[in-house]
Amino acid sequence: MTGGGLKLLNNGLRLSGLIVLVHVSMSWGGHALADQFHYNNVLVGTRAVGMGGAFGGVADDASGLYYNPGGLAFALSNDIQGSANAFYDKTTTYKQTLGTTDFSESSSGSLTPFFGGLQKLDRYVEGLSVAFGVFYVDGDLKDQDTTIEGKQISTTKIDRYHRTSNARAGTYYAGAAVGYRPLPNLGFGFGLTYHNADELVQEFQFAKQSVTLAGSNNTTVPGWSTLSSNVRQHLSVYGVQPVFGAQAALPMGFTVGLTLKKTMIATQTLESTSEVTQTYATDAQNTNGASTTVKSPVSNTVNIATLKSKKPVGSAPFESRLGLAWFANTRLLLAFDVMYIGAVTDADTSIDPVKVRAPYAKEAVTNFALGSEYFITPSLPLRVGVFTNNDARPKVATGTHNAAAGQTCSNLDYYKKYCGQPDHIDYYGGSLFIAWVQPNSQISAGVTVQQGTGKAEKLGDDKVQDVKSKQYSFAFSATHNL
Amino acid sequence: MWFHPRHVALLLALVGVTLACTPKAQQPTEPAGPKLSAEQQKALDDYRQEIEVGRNMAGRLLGYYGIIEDEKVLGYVNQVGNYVASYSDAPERRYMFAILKHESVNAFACPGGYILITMGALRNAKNEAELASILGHEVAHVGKRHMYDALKKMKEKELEDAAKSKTVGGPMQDALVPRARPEPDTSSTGSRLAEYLTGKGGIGLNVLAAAQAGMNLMTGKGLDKSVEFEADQEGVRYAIRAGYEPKALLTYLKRLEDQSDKKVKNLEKTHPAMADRRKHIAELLKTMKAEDIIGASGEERFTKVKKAFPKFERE
Repeated sequence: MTGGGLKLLNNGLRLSGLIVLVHVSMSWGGHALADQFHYNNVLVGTRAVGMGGAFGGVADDASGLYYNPGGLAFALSNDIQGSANAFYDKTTTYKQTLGTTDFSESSSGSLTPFFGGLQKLDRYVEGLSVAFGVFYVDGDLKDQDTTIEGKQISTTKIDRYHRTSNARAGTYYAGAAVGYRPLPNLGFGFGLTYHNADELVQEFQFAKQSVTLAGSNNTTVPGWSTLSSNVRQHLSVYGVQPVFGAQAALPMGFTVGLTLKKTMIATQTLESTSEVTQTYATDAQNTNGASTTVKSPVSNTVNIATLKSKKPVGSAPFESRLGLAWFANTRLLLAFDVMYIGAVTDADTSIDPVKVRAPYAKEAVTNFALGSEYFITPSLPLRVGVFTNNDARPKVATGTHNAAAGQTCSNLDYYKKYCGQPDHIDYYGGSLFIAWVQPNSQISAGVTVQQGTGKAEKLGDDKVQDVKSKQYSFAFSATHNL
Repeated sequence: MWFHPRHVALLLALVGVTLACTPKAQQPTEPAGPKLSAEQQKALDDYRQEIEVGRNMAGRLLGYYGIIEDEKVLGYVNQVGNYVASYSDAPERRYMFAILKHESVNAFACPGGYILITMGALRNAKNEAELASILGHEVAHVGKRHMYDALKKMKEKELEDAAKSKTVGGPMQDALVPRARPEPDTSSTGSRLAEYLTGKGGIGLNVLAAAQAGMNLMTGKGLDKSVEFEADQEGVRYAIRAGYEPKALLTYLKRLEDQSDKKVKNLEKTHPAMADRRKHIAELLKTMKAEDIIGASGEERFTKVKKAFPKFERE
């Protein structure tokens, strides 16, 4: 028997679960790497990180470049500070995705979220301060290796599924800001930062399943089918972000701050190359009387695709932050921030495999943060905060899946609504940090925890899974007052 | 930016080195010697803290006003000051005298023996006896622990409020006052935390907050009138013991009283009225029958040094 005489029975659909998993993993919506869909990045600033990012009404240190440049004008002293996110760990679990089995993705690593300095210039102009800073608002480092063997998915048994997923992604800003108080109780600030977002994903998937192959003369032989894919995609965005801030000191120790920013993207590119190979093979001997044993492969299909886009993410959203703080006394500070980030509607749809969805489109998002700083002793401030970190991607819609009524993913109208949807995970979290303050310096250490719940349509087959995600970030930072 | 684990280790090491290099307040080293009783140890710790508070206050004042570095003038003031101090009620203490580069008339007695006199106060003196009386007044403040006791009597809240109410460079702007945080301790965190957790001792005198509060007290409302009168009388007594002319401080204060210059009159913001001070001093002199005491004025020596007084433009 020759290889060309063999055909996969049932048109190859018996690998549907894994085929779709491979397919969806290739689609852009399946990757939330640098997590640019969650805006509340609380790991910037020694004090701010402990207060859950509720710092828009305070912002009187170098991190004011990020939270509110208007706060720089209220700084009490010069400072230089740096943060080291010593370790973070993130696990996202998709419930009952592979049959009754959960599917998990995890990543961990370390990065330094912030380094900056502030210089008061009162000796030249009363109420004038300048600050510089480099801050990493998003970061991900994934090195995942998953193997599943002998798993029943619906009516199909998988012999072997193997996936390696490697990604590194980061979004950072670097720049400077100036704060000035024209009136004793009113400060304004303006900053300009250079912006870069970079995501690189390399993913390999392989699936193998036992099948029955059609041989010559209406005979059948046992064999197997394999599907493998290699994907590499690279997103690169450059721009500048002007930021304007204002802060006012109110009676009784209250302050209020407003921050407005919008990244002006100069260049953005996305390149992707994918290679998918499907193979049918058998170990069965020739059944037509010949003595030769036929070895695989007996059939190969290779599909290589390249996608390029010069506007994958579209325009950057408009961001605003309203902060309120109460300096109750020298020991206690309470702060509350509300953040509103606008929608992005002009992202490119052509990079979607079916070209119906813009993977980087974003909806408007509102987040909240509540934080407190309390000095247990003059050298031991305890900082705690709670915050939300909502997803900018649209909520996942659940389809009805009625093949008889044409309600399947092969129906384009149905697909647009219910298939190939990106995840939607809303997070809430808390932070707890303790610092050790000395006359000219302080070190701070603690943890932020984020817990997310949401929905996903991981297999692209209009079946929606519950998703749970947890992220721990153990951070360490140091500040030196000059 | 992603780091290899060794980069993280390097970063942490750098932070550690930075912190290690951060200047810390000097902690007195334990001298070798006989074991002290609990009471003696407590007194020693208290004295060390007094010195630390005073040193911190003096540093802030010197930093703000500037210092006269003329060795001849500075040496002379230290010579006279230490001579008078040796006849005080606390001759065992160590005193350090410095001259502030300022033309206002004032002098500051920081706890622990750091005594600062302005150039304006020096310029208004006519002889060594007057200088000795002025320095005697400040020596009495130190020896009687007027400032240090006042700070110790303050409750923690009052101390913090006093510390943030004003700085030497002028009052902190109202908009910034709420942002002031507690002045941190320089003691080890472990012992502080243990103290807090066990409730033993609670939060003691915060050296830096006390220093700032004391400085603000000195440059603000001043000490109680009663201790100023006491310092006047004690200062005169020390000067007389040292052999100086008894009425020197009376003469000096009368000279200031007769001036309308605000550089002089500002002294009354932190001290009782000159007339009241003179009245208290006169009562002492009467009690001591000072009329019968013949003291030295040291005018010739003072005049020679006065020629070396630096001139500068600062009020």
